[in-house]
Amino acid sequence: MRRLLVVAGTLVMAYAVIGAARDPHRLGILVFLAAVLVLHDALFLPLVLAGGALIDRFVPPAGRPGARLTGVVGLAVAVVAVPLAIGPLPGPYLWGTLLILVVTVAGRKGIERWRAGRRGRAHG
Amino acid sequence: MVRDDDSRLTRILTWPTSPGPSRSARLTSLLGVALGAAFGVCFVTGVLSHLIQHPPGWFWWPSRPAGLYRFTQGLHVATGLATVPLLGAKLWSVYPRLFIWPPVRGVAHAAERASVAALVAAALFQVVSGVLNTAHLYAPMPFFFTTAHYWIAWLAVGALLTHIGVQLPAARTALRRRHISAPQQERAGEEARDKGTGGERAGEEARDEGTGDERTAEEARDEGTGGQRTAEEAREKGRAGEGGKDEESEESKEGSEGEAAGGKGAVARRQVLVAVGVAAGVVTVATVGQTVAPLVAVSVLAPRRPGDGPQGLAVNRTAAAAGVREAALDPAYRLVVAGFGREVALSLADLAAMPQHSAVLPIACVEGWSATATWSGVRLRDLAGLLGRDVAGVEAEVVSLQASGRYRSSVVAGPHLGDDRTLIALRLGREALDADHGFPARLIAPNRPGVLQTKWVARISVRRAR
Repeated sequence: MRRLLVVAGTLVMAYAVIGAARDPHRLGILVFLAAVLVLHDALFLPLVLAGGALIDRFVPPAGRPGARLTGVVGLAVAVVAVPLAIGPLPGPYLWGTLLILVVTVAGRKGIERWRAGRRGRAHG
Repeated sequence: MVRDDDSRLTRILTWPTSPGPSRSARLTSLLGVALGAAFGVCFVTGVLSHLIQHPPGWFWWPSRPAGLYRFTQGLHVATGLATVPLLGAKLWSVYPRLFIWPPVRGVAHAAERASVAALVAAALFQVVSGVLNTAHLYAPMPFFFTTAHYWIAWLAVGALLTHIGVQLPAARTALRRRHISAPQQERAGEEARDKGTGGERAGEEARDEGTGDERTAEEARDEGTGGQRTAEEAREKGRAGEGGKDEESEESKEGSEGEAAGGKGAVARRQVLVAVGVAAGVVTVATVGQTVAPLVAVSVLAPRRPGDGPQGLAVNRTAAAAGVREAALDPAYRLVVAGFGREVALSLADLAAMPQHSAVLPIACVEGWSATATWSGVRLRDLAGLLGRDVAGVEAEVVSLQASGRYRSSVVAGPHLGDDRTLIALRLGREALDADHGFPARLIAPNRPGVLQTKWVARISVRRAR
Protein backbone atom coordinates (compact mmCIF):
# COMPACT_ATOMS: atom_id res chain seq x y z
CA MET A 1 0.00 0.00 0.00
CA ARG A 2 2.70 2.46 1.05
CA ARG A 3 4.92 1.57 -1.88
CA LEU A 4 1.97 1.93 -4.21
CA LEU A 5 1.29 5.42 -2.84
CA VAL A 6 4.92 6.44 -3.17
CA VAL A 7 5.18 5.11 -6.74
CA ALA A 8 1.85 6.67 -7.75
CA GLY A 9 2.85 9.97 -6.15
CA THR A 10 6.19 9.97 -7.93
CA LEU A 11 4.51 9.31 -11.28
CA VAL A 12 1.99 12.09 -10.70
CA MET A 13 4.80 14.48 -9.76
CA ALA A 14 6.65 13.51 -12.93
CA TYR A 15 3.50 14.26 -14.96
CA ALA A 16 3.26 17.66 -13.27
CA VAL A 17 6.91 18.50 -13.89
CA ILE A 18 6.67 17.51 -17.57
CA GLY A 19 3.50 19.56 -17.98
CA ALA A 20 4.91 22.61 -16.21
CA ALA A 21 8.18 22.34 -18.15
CA ARG A 22 6.21 22.76 -21.38
CA ASP A 23 4.59 25.96 -20.12
CA PRO A 24 6.07 29.06 -21.74
CA HIS A 25 6.28 30.64 -18.27
CA ARG A 26 8.10 27.68 -16.70
CA LEU A 27 10.84 29.85 -15.28
CA GLY A 28 8.26 32.11 -13.63
CA ILE A 29 6.56 29.06 -12.13
CA LEU A 30 9.86 27.78 -10.77
CA VAL A 31 10.77 31.17 -9.32
CA PHE A 32 7.38 31.51 -7.65
CA LEU A 33 7.61 27.99 -6.20
CA ALA A 34 11.01 28.75 -4.69
CA ALA A 35 9.95 32.22 -3.55
CA VAL A 36 6.87 31.12 -1.60
CA LEU A 37 8.86 28.32 0.05
CA VAL A 38 11.77 30.54 1.09
CA LEU A 39 9.62 33.50 2.11
CA HIS A 40 7.37 31.29 4.20
CA ASP A 41 10.11 29.34 5.99
CA ALA A 42 12.67 32.10 6.35
CA LEU A 43 10.50 35.17 6.86
CA PHE A 44 6.80 34.63 7.41
CA LEU A 45 6.91 31.82 9.97
CA PRO A 46 9.75 33.35 12.03
CA LEU A 47 7.74 36.59 12.18
CA VAL A 48 4.68 34.67 13.31
CA LEU A 49 6.73 32.92 15.99
CA ALA A 50 8.15 36.23 17.09
CA GLY A 51 4.60 37.56 17.42
CA GLY A 52 3.73 34.58 19.57
CA ALA A 53 6.78 35.17 21.72
CA LEU A 54 5.70 38.79 22.19
CA ILE A 55 2.28 37.61 23.36
CA ASP A 56 3.94 35.34 25.91
CA ARG A 57 6.18 38.16 27.09
CA PHE A 58 3.74 41.03 27.33
CA VAL A 59 0.25 39.59 27.72
CA PRO A 60 -0.82 38.37 31.19
CA PRO A 61 -1.38 34.58 31.34
CA ALA A 62 -5.15 34.94 31.63
CA GLY A 63 -5.32 36.91 28.42
CA ARG A 64 -3.00 34.74 26.34
CA PRO A 65 -5.51 32.21 24.95
CA GLY A 66 -7.66 35.08 23.70
CA ALA A 67 -4.66 36.92 22.29
CA ARG A 68 -3.47 33.79 20.50
CA LEU A 69 -6.90 33.05 19.06
CA THR A 70 -7.18 36.62 17.82
CA GLY A 71 -3.67 36.38 16.43
CA VAL A 72 -4.37 33.17 14.50
CA VAL A 73 -7.70 34.45 13.15
CA GLY A 74 -6.21 37.86 12.33
CA LEU A 75 -3.30 36.28 10.50
CA ALA A 76 -5.52 34.01 8.40
CA VAL A 77 -7.86 36.87 7.59
CA ALA A 78 -4.93 39.14 6.72
CA VAL A 79 -3.54 36.63 4.23
CA VAL A 80 -6.87 36.79 2.39
CA ALA A 81 -7.62 40.47 2.95
CA VAL A 82 -4.30 42.14 2.17
CA PRO A 83 -4.24 41.06 -1.51
CA LEU A 84 -7.84 42.25 -1.79
CA ALA A 85 -6.99 45.57 -0.19
CA ILE A 86 -4.04 46.28 -2.47
CA GLY A 87 -5.60 44.73 -5.58
CA PRO A 88 -7.82 46.45 -8.14
CA LEU A 89 -11.17 45.23 -6.78
CA PRO A 90 -13.11 47.91 -4.94
CA GLY A 91 -14.24 47.21 -1.42
CA PRO A 92 -13.59 48.22 2.19
CA TYR A 93 -11.45 45.19 2.91
CA LEU A 94 -9.33 46.77 5.66
CA TRP A 95 -12.47 47.85 7.51
CA GLY A 96 -13.80 44.34 6.99
CA THR A 97 -10.66 42.90 8.55
CA LEU A 98 -10.94 45.22 11.54
CA LEU A 99 -14.60 44.30 11.94
CA ILE A 100 -13.72 40.59 11.95
CA LEU A 101 -11.10 41.14 14.64
CA VAL A 102 -13.51 43.13 16.80
CA VAL A 103 -16.19 40.47 16.41
CA THR A 104 -13.67 37.71 17.19
CA VAL A 105 -12.52 39.40 20.40
CA ALA A 106 -16.08 40.29 21.42
CA GLY A 107 -17.29 36.79 20.59
CA ARG A 108 -14.60 35.19 22.66
CA LYS A 109 -15.31 37.46 25.62
CA GLY A 110 -19.01 36.71 25.28
CA ILE A 111 -18.38 32.96 25.31
CA GLU A 112 -16.11 33.34 28.35
CA ARG A 113 -18.79 35.27 30.26
CA TRP A 114 -21.46 32.79 29.27
CA ARG A 115 -19.28 29.91 30.48
CA ALA A 116 -18.47 31.76 33.71
CA GLY A 117 -22.17 32.35 34.24
CA ARG A 118 -22.94 28.69 33.69
CA ARG A 119 -20.23 27.65 36.11
CA GLY A 120 -21.55 30.13 38.64
CA ARG A 121 -25.07 28.77 38.37
CA ALA A 122 -23.79 25.19 38.63
CA HIS A 123 -21.89 25.97 41.84
CA GLY A 124 -24.52 28.28 43.26
CA MET B 1 19.89 21.50 15.73
CA VAL B 2 16.54 20.42 17.09
CA ARG B 3 17.71 17.47 19.05
CA ASP B 4 17.14 18.77 22.50
CA ASP B 5 13.57 19.55 23.53
CA ASP B 6 14.82 21.99 26.10
CA SER B 7 16.71 24.06 23.60
CA ARG B 8 15.88 27.70 23.32
CA LEU B 9 14.98 27.31 19.68
CA THR B 10 12.47 24.55 20.41
CA ARG B 11 10.89 26.62 23.17
CA ILE B 12 10.51 29.51 20.78
CA LEU B 13 9.06 27.22 18.17
CA THR B 14 6.24 26.15 20.45
CA TRP B 15 4.27 29.32 19.77
CA PRO B 16 1.33 29.96 19.77
CA THR B 17 0.57 27.61 22.62
CA SER B 18 3.60 27.86 24.79
CA PRO B 19 4.28 27.10 27.55
CA GLY B 20 4.09 23.40 27.03
CA PRO B 21 4.66 20.96 24.21
CA SER B 22 1.94 22.13 21.85
CA ARG B 23 3.23 20.27 18.86
CA SER B 24 2.59 16.58 18.55
CA ALA B 25 2.28 13.80 16.02
CA ARG B 26 -1.45 13.65 16.74
CA LEU B 27 -1.93 17.38 16.12
CA THR B 28 0.14 17.17 12.94
CA SER B 29 -1.85 14.14 11.80
CA LEU B 30 -5.22 15.76 12.53
CA LEU B 31 -4.19 18.87 10.64
CA GLY B 32 -2.82 16.66 7.88
CA VAL B 33 -6.11 14.79 7.52
CA ALA B 34 -8.08 18.05 7.35
CA LEU B 35 -5.59 19.55 4.91
CA GLY B 36 -5.55 16.39 2.79
CA ALA B 37 -9.34 16.43 2.59
CA ALA B 38 -9.31 20.12 1.64
CA PHE B 39 -6.67 19.55 -1.03
CA GLY B 40 -8.65 16.57 -2.32
CA VAL B 41 -11.76 18.70 -2.71
CA CYS B 42 -9.79 21.48 -4.40
CA PHE B 43 -8.02 19.03 -6.71
CA VAL B 44 -11.16 17.21 -7.86
CA THR B 45 -13.17 20.39 -8.40
CA GLY B 46 -10.19 22.12 -10.01
CA VAL B 47 -9.49 19.30 -12.47
CA LEU B 48 -13.20 19.21 -13.26
CA SER B 49 -13.13 22.92 -14.06
CA HIS B 50 -10.07 22.38 -16.23
CA LEU B 51 -11.76 19.54 -18.13
CA ILE B 52 -14.87 21.65 -18.72
CA GLN B 53 -12.74 24.44 -20.17
CA HIS B 54 -10.39 22.17 -22.13
CA PRO B 55 -12.46 19.05 -22.80
CA PRO B 56 -10.60 16.02 -24.14
CA GLY B 57 -12.47 13.71 -26.51
CA TRP B 58 -13.64 11.34 -23.80
CA PHE B 59 -15.03 14.06 -21.53
CA TRP B 60 -18.75 14.74 -21.37
CA TRP B 61 -20.31 17.49 -19.31
CA PRO B 62 -24.08 17.84 -18.97
CA SER B 63 -26.09 21.06 -19.18
CA ARG B 64 -28.11 20.16 -16.09
CA PRO B 65 -28.30 20.71 -13.19
CA ALA B 66 -27.88 24.32 -14.23
CA GLY B 67 -26.07 25.30 -11.01
CA LEU B 68 -23.70 22.36 -10.75
CA TYR B 69 -20.60 24.24 -11.90
CA ARG B 70 -21.55 27.13 -9.67
CA PHE B 71 -21.51 24.68 -6.77
CA THR B 72 -18.28 22.87 -7.66
CA GLN B 73 -16.31 26.04 -8.36
CA GLY B 74 -17.77 27.85 -5.35
CA LEU B 75 -16.69 24.84 -3.28
CA HIS B 76 -13.24 24.91 -4.89
CA VAL B 77 -12.57 28.53 -3.97
CA ALA B 78 -14.24 28.41 -0.54
CA THR B 79 -12.26 25.30 0.39
CA GLY B 80 -9.07 26.83 -0.96
CA LEU B 81 -9.56 29.94 1.16
CA ALA B 82 -10.39 27.88 4.25
CA THR B 83 -7.10 26.07 3.64
CA VAL B 84 -5.13 29.22 4.52
CA PRO B 85 -5.14 28.66 8.31
CA LEU B 86 -5.02 24.87 7.92
CA LEU B 87 -1.88 24.99 5.83
CA GLY B 88 -0.34 27.62 8.09
CA ALA B 89 -0.93 25.50 11.18
CA LYS B 90 0.27 22.31 9.53
CA LEU B 91 3.52 23.92 8.44
CA TRP B 92 3.93 25.48 11.87
CA SER B 93 3.42 22.07 13.49
CA VAL B 94 6.29 20.50 11.54
CA TYR B 95 8.56 23.55 11.38
CA PRO B 96 11.17 22.15 13.82
CA ARG B 97 11.78 19.27 11.42
CA LEU B 98 13.21 21.78 9.00
CA PHE B 99 16.19 22.04 11.32
CA ILE B 100 16.86 18.33 11.78
CA TRP B 101 20.57 17.69 11.98
CA PRO B 102 22.21 16.29 9.98
CA PRO B 103 19.89 17.55 7.25
CA VAL B 104 20.44 14.47 5.09
CA ARG B 105 21.20 10.97 6.32
CA GLY B 106 21.30 9.14 3.05
CA VAL B 107 19.82 8.91 -0.42
CA ALA B 108 16.39 7.73 0.76
CA HIS B 109 16.21 10.44 3.40
CA ALA B 110 17.28 13.06 0.87
CA ALA B 111 14.55 11.90 -1.52
CA GLU B 112 11.98 12.03 1.25
CA ARG B 113 13.02 15.54 2.24
CA ALA B 114 12.95 16.65 -1.39
CA SER B 115 9.40 15.32 -1.76
CA VAL B 116 8.37 17.17 1.41
CA ALA B 117 9.94 20.37 0.03
CA ALA B 118 8.00 19.85 -3.21
CA LEU B 119 4.82 19.32 -1.22
CA VAL B 120 5.30 22.43 0.89
CA ALA B 121 6.27 24.60 -2.08
CA ALA B 122 3.38 23.30 -4.20
CA ALA B 123 0.86 23.72 -1.37
CA LEU B 124 2.03 27.30 -0.71
CA PHE B 125 2.03 27.99 -4.46
CA GLN B 126 -1.57 26.82 -4.80
CA VAL B 127 -2.92 28.70 -1.82
CA VAL B 128 -1.00 31.94 -2.45
CA SER B 129 -1.71 32.03 -6.19
CA GLY B 130 -5.36 31.16 -5.55
CA VAL B 131 -5.72 34.01 -3.06
CA LEU B 132 -4.00 36.42 -5.48
CA ASN B 133 -6.31 35.29 -8.26
CA THR B 134 -9.47 35.91 -6.26
CA ALA B 135 -8.10 39.41 -5.58
CA HIS B 136 -7.21 39.97 -9.27
CA LEU B 137 -3.66 40.70 -8.14
CA TYR B 138 -1.59 39.26 -10.96
CA ALA B 139 1.56 41.40 -10.80
CA PRO B 140 3.39 39.10 -8.33
CA MET B 141 2.72 36.04 -10.52
CA PRO B 142 5.19 35.73 -13.43
CA PHE B 143 3.01 33.19 -15.26
CA PHE B 144 -0.50 32.62 -16.54
CA PHE B 145 -2.43 31.72 -13.43
CA THR B 146 -4.78 29.08 -14.80
CA THR B 147 -2.22 26.77 -16.39
CA ALA B 148 0.32 27.16 -13.59
CA HIS B 149 -2.34 26.50 -10.95
CA TYR B 150 -3.34 23.38 -12.88
CA TRP B 151 0.13 21.87 -13.19
CA ILE B 152 1.18 22.68 -9.65
CA ALA B 153 -2.03 21.06 -8.43
CA TRP B 154 -0.75 17.81 -9.91
CA LEU B 155 2.63 18.40 -8.26
CA ALA B 156 0.92 18.99 -4.91
CA VAL B 157 -1.21 15.87 -5.19
CA GLY B 158 1.72 13.73 -6.31
CA ALA B 159 3.85 14.97 -3.43
CA LEU B 160 0.90 14.47 -1.08
CA LEU B 161 0.47 10.84 -2.17
CA THR B 162 4.19 10.25 -1.62
CA HIS B 163 4.02 11.94 1.77
CA ILE B 164 1.04 9.83 2.81
CA GLY B 165 2.89 6.73 1.68
CA VAL B 166 5.86 7.62 3.85
CA GLN B 167 3.89 8.83 6.86
CA LEU B 168 0.93 6.44 6.82
CA PRO B 169 1.93 4.25 9.78
CA ALA B 170 2.90 7.31 11.78
CA ALA B 171 -0.34 9.14 11.09
CA ARG B 172 -2.42 6.01 11.69
CA THR B 173 -0.80 5.42 15.04
CA ALA B 174 -1.04 9.05 16.07
CA LEU B 175 -4.72 9.21 15.16
CA ARG B 176 -5.49 5.97 17.01
CA ARG B 177 -3.68 7.10 20.10
CA ARG B 178 -6.66 8.55 21.92
CA HIS B 179 -8.38 5.18 21.91
CA ILE B 180 -5.47 3.25 23.37
CA SER B 181 -5.71 2.33 27.01
CA ALA B 182 -3.01 3.21 29.51
CA PRO B 183 -1.52 -0.33 29.65
CA GLN B 184 -1.40 -0.37 25.86
CA GLN B 185 0.38 2.94 25.92
CA GLU B 186 2.91 1.57 28.33
CA ARG B 187 3.48 -1.34 25.97
CA ALA B 188 3.84 1.14 23.12
CA GLY B 189 6.44 2.95 25.20
CA GLU B 190 8.26 -0.36 25.71
CA GLU B 191 8.19 -0.99 21.97
CA ALA B 192 9.62 2.42 21.30
CA ARG B 193 12.35 1.72 23.81
CA ASP B 194 13.04 -1.61 22.15
CA LYS B 195 13.38 0.18 18.87
CA GLY B 196 15.70 2.59 20.54
CA THR B 197 17.88 -0.12 21.96
CA GLY B 198 17.69 -2.38 18.99
CA GLY B 199 20.35 -0.56 17.08
CA GLU B 200 20.52 1.09 13.75
CA ARG B 201 17.69 -0.77 12.06
CA ALA B 202 15.14 -0.11 14.77
CA GLY B 203 16.23 3.48 14.94
CA GLU B 204 15.82 3.75 11.22
CA GLU B 205 12.31 2.31 11.43
CA ALA B 206 11.31 4.72 14.13
CA ARG B 207 12.69 7.54 12.07
CA ASP B 208 11.07 6.42 8.83
CA GLU B 209 7.72 5.83 10.41
CA GLY B 210 8.28 9.15 11.96
CA THR B 211 6.10 8.42 14.87
CA GLY B 212 6.90 5.54 17.02
CA ASP B 213 8.79 8.09 18.98
CA GLU B 214 6.33 10.93 18.87
CA ARG B 215 3.36 8.66 19.32
CA THR B 216 4.54 7.21 22.56
CA ALA B 217 5.70 10.57 23.79
CA GLU B 218 2.28 11.95 23.01
CA GLU B 219 0.46 9.13 24.68
CA ALA B 220 2.50 9.53 27.76
CA ARG B 221 2.07 13.27 27.88
CA ASP B 222 -1.65 13.25 27.32
CA GLU B 223 -2.49 10.41 29.62
CA GLY B 224 0.10 11.17 32.23
CA THR B 225 1.83 7.81 32.17
CA GLY B 226 5.15 9.41 32.65
CA GLY B 227 6.65 7.71 29.64
CA GLN B 228 7.31 10.82 27.66
CA ARG B 229 10.93 11.24 28.47
CA THR B 230 11.81 7.61 27.99
CA ALA B 231 10.11 7.54 24.63
CA GLU B 232 11.89 10.70 23.62
CA GLU B 233 15.11 9.20 24.76
CA ALA B 234 14.37 6.07 22.77
CA ARG B 235 14.05 8.16 19.66
CA GLU B 236 17.39 9.75 20.24
CA LYS B 237 18.97 6.40 20.82
CA GLY B 238 17.28 4.99 17.79
CA ARG B 239 18.87 7.73 15.75
CA ALA B 240 22.23 7.12 17.24
CA GLY B 241 21.87 3.36 17.12
CA GLU B 242 22.96 3.06 20.72
CA GLY B 243 21.72 1.20 23.74
CA GLY B 244 19.90 3.31 26.26
CA LYS B 245 18.59 1.45 29.24
CA ASP B 246 21.16 3.00 31.52
CA GLU B 247 19.34 6.28 31.40
CA GLU B 248 15.80 4.97 31.57
CA SER B 249 15.48 4.96 35.33
CA GLU B 250 16.70 8.51 35.60
CA GLU B 251 14.35 9.63 32.89
CA SER B 252 11.38 7.86 34.41
CA LYS B 253 11.89 9.90 37.58
CA GLU B 254 10.69 12.79 35.59
CA GLY B 255 7.34 11.11 35.11
CA SER B 256 5.42 13.56 37.26
CA GLU B 257 6.98 16.42 35.38
CA GLY B 258 5.93 14.80 32.11
CA GLU B 259 2.43 14.35 33.49
CA ALA B 260 2.08 18.05 34.22
CA ALA B 261 3.51 18.96 30.86
CA GLY B 262 1.14 16.46 29.27
CA GLY B 263 -1.91 18.23 30.69
CA LYS B 264 -0.67 21.56 29.45
CA GLY B 265 0.21 20.04 26.12
CA ALA B 266 -3.25 18.58 25.61
CA VAL B 267 -4.86 21.93 26.44
CA ALA B 268 -2.41 23.75 24.20
CA ARG B 269 -3.10 21.42 21.29
CA ARG B 270 -6.83 21.81 21.73
CA GLN B 271 -6.30 25.57 21.63
CA VAL B 272 -4.42 25.24 18.36
CA LEU B 273 -7.17 23.12 16.80
CA VAL B 274 -9.89 25.49 18.05
CA ALA B 275 -8.01 28.54 16.76
CA VAL B 276 -7.43 26.95 13.35
CA GLY B 277 -11.06 25.82 13.14
CA VAL B 278 -12.33 29.27 14.11
CA ALA B 279 -9.96 30.93 11.61
CA ALA B 280 -11.09 28.60 8.79
CA GLY B 281 -14.71 29.26 9.68
CA VAL B 282 -14.21 33.02 9.83
CA VAL B 283 -12.40 33.11 6.47
CA THR B 284 -15.17 31.02 4.93
CA VAL B 285 -18.01 33.10 6.30
CA ALA B 286 -16.17 36.30 5.40
CA THR B 287 -15.85 35.33 1.74
CA VAL B 288 -18.45 32.73 0.77
CA GLY B 289 -21.15 35.37 0.32
CA GLN B 290 -19.65 35.91 -3.13
CA THR B 291 -21.52 32.81 -4.21
CA VAL B 292 -23.94 32.07 -1.35
CA ALA B 293 -26.12 35.15 -1.62
CA PRO B 294 -27.86 34.90 1.80
CA LEU B 295 -24.46 35.26 3.49
CA VAL B 296 -23.40 38.37 1.60
CA ALA B 297 -24.29 40.65 4.51
CA VAL B 298 -21.67 39.01 6.74
CA SER B 299 -19.15 38.31 3.99
CA VAL B 300 -17.14 41.46 4.52
CA LEU B 301 -14.22 40.11 2.48
CA ALA B 302 -16.23 38.80 -0.46
CA PRO B 303 -14.26 39.73 -3.61
CA ARG B 304 -17.57 40.07 -5.49
CA ARG B 305 -21.08 40.54 -4.24
CA PRO B 306 -24.36 39.65 -5.85
CA GLY B 307 -25.76 43.02 -6.91
CA ASP B 308 -22.37 44.54 -7.77
CA GLY B 309 -21.74 45.92 -11.24
CA PRO B 310 -23.80 47.34 -14.09
CA GLN B 311 -27.40 46.08 -14.10
CA GLY B 312 -26.72 44.53 -10.70
CA LEU B 313 -24.33 41.91 -12.03
CA ALA B 314 -20.56 41.77 -11.60
CA VAL B 315 -18.26 42.06 -14.59
CA ASN B 316 -14.75 40.68 -14.95
CA ARG B 317 -13.83 42.12 -18.33
CA THR B 318 -15.38 45.34 -19.49
CA ALA B 319 -16.08 46.26 -23.12
CA ALA B 320 -13.37 48.91 -22.93
CA ALA B 321 -10.82 46.47 -21.53
CA ALA B 322 -11.68 43.97 -24.27
CA GLY B 323 -11.35 46.72 -26.90
CA VAL B 324 -14.78 46.04 -28.37
CA ARG B 325 -16.81 49.04 -27.30
CA GLU B 326 -16.86 50.72 -30.69
CA ALA B 327 -17.63 47.55 -32.62
CA ALA B 328 -20.30 46.50 -30.12
CA LEU B 329 -22.16 49.82 -30.39
CA ASP B 330 -21.84 50.03 -34.21
CA PRO B 331 -25.34 50.11 -35.81
CA ALA B 332 -23.93 48.03 -38.67
CA TYR B 333 -23.43 45.10 -36.26
CA ARG B 334 -24.42 41.72 -37.71
CA LEU B 335 -24.37 38.31 -36.07
CA VAL B 336 -23.14 35.75 -38.56
CA VAL B 337 -24.31 32.14 -38.28
CA ALA B 338 -22.30 29.86 -40.54
CA GLY B 339 -21.85 26.17 -41.21
CA PHE B 340 -22.45 23.32 -43.62
CA GLY B 341 -21.82 25.63 -46.58
CA ARG B 342 -24.36 28.28 -45.54
CA GLU B 343 -24.08 31.65 -43.86
CA VAL B 344 -26.76 33.92 -42.38
CA ALA B 345 -26.17 37.52 -41.21
CA LEU B 346 -28.62 38.87 -38.65
CA SER B 347 -29.07 42.44 -37.45
CA LEU B 348 -30.26 43.21 -33.94
CA ALA B 349 -33.75 43.77 -35.37
CA ASP B 350 -33.61 40.34 -37.05
CA LEU B 351 -32.63 38.76 -33.76
CA ALA B 352 -35.39 40.59 -31.89
CA ALA B 353 -37.93 39.33 -34.45
CA MET B 354 -37.07 35.67 -33.74
CA PRO B 355 -38.86 33.73 -30.96
CA GLN B 356 -37.67 35.10 -27.64
CA HIS B 357 -37.07 32.99 -24.55
CA SER B 358 -36.07 33.71 -20.98
CA ALA B 359 -33.87 31.76 -18.60
CA VAL B 360 -32.85 32.35 -15.01
CA LEU B 361 -29.20 31.33 -14.95
CA PRO B 362 -26.09 32.12 -12.94
CA ILE B 363 -22.86 33.58 -14.16
CA ALA B 364 -20.48 31.29 -12.30
CA CYS B 365 -16.96 32.64 -12.44
CA VAL B 366 -13.89 30.42 -12.16
CA GLU B 367 -12.78 32.77 -9.36
CA GLY B 368 -15.60 31.44 -7.22
CA TRP B 369 -18.16 34.24 -7.34
CA SER B 370 -21.52 33.79 -8.95
CA ALA B 371 -24.74 35.70 -9.43
CA THR B 372 -28.10 34.78 -10.85
CA ALA B 373 -29.89 36.86 -13.47
CA THR B 374 -32.81 36.62 -15.83
CA TRP B 375 -31.66 36.54 -19.44
CA SER B 376 -33.79 36.85 -22.57
CA GLY B 377 -32.92 36.23 -26.19
CA VAL B 378 -32.85 33.63 -28.93
CA ARG B 379 -32.17 29.95 -28.34
CA LEU B 380 -28.82 28.94 -29.75
CA ARG B 381 -30.34 25.83 -31.29
CA ASP B 382 -32.88 28.02 -33.15
CA LEU B 383 -30.00 30.01 -34.63
CA ALA B 384 -28.18 26.81 -35.59
CA GLY B 385 -31.44 25.61 -37.11
CA LEU B 386 -31.33 28.53 -39.57
CA LEU B 387 -28.70 26.55 -41.43
CA GLY B 388 -31.28 23.92 -42.24
CA ARG B 389 -29.63 21.08 -40.33
CA ASP B 390 -30.72 19.09 -37.31
CA VAL B 391 -28.61 20.09 -34.30
CA ALA B 392 -28.12 16.46 -33.23
CA GLY B 393 -24.44 15.55 -33.37
CA VAL B 394 -23.24 19.08 -33.94
CA GLU B 395 -21.42 21.70 -31.88
CA ALA B 396 -21.12 25.45 -32.20
CA GLU B 397 -18.11 27.68 -31.85
CA VAL B 398 -19.19 31.08 -30.54
CA VAL B 399 -16.73 33.84 -31.41
CA SER B 400 -16.55 37.32 -29.89
CA LEU B 401 -15.92 40.70 -31.44
CA GLN B 402 -12.64 40.67 -29.49
CA ALA B 403 -9.64 40.65 -31.78
CA SER B 404 -7.59 38.55 -29.37
CA GLY B 405 -7.62 37.01 -25.94
CA ARG B 406 -7.76 33.54 -24.45
CA TYR B 407 -11.51 33.68 -24.04
CA ARG B 408 -12.56 35.30 -27.31
CA SER B 409 -14.34 32.11 -28.35
CA SER B 410 -15.87 29.01 -26.82
CA VAL B 411 -17.28 25.76 -28.07
CA VAL B 412 -20.82 24.80 -27.13
CA ALA B 413 -21.06 21.00 -27.17
CA GLY B 414 -24.16 18.92 -27.88
CA PRO B 415 -25.75 18.79 -24.43
CA HIS B 416 -25.62 22.58 -24.10
CA LEU B 417 -26.45 23.34 -27.74
CA GLY B 418 -29.67 21.37 -27.50
CA ASP B 419 -30.66 22.78 -24.10
CA ASP B 420 -33.77 25.02 -23.98
CA ARG B 421 -31.97 27.44 -21.72
CA THR B 422 -28.90 28.02 -23.88
CA LEU B 423 -29.47 31.48 -25.29
CA ILE B 424 -27.84 34.16 -27.34
CA ALA B 425 -29.05 36.74 -24.84
CA LEU B 426 -30.06 40.23 -25.91
CA ARG B 427 -31.53 41.38 -22.63
CA LEU B 428 -30.62 41.23 -18.95
CA GLY B 429 -33.69 41.58 -16.78
CA ARG B 430 -35.92 44.07 -18.55
CA GLU B 431 -33.15 46.00 -20.26
CA ALA B 432 -30.91 45.54 -23.25
CA LEU B 433 -27.56 44.15 -22.24
CA ASP B 434 -25.07 46.67 -20.90
CA ALA B 435 -21.98 46.93 -23.08
CA ASP B 436 -19.96 45.37 -20.25
CA HIS B 437 -22.31 42.40 -20.17
CA GLY B 438 -21.85 41.67 -23.85
CA PHE B 439 -24.12 44.01 -25.85
CA PRO B 440 -25.38 43.47 -28.48
CA ALA B 441 -25.52 39.72 -27.88
CA ARG B 442 -23.87 37.21 -25.58
CA LEU B 443 -23.93 33.51 -24.89
CA ILE B 444 -25.54 32.29 -21.70
CA ALA B 445 -25.89 28.58 -21.00
CA PRO B 446 -26.59 26.45 -17.92
CA ASN B 447 -23.85 24.68 -15.98
CA ARG B 448 -20.91 26.41 -17.59
CA PRO B 449 -18.00 28.56 -16.35
CA GLY B 450 -18.33 32.31 -16.83
CA VAL B 451 -15.25 32.42 -19.07
CA LEU B 452 -17.13 30.23 -21.56
CA GLN B 453 -20.19 32.51 -21.63
CA THR B 454 -18.80 34.44 -24.59
CA LYS B 455 -19.68 38.14 -24.72
CA TRP B 456 -20.07 40.46 -27.73
CA VAL B 457 -20.88 37.55 -30.01
CA ALA B 458 -19.99 38.20 -33.65
CA ARG B 459 -20.07 34.76 -35.20
CA ILE B 460 -21.48 31.31 -34.56
CA SER B 461 -19.84 28.49 -36.51
CA VAL B 462 -21.83 25.28 -36.48
CA ARG B 463 -20.05 22.03 -37.32
CA ARG B 464 -20.14 18.32 -36.70
CA ALA B 465 -19.10 17.45 -33.15
CA ARG B 466 -15.41 16.51 -32.97
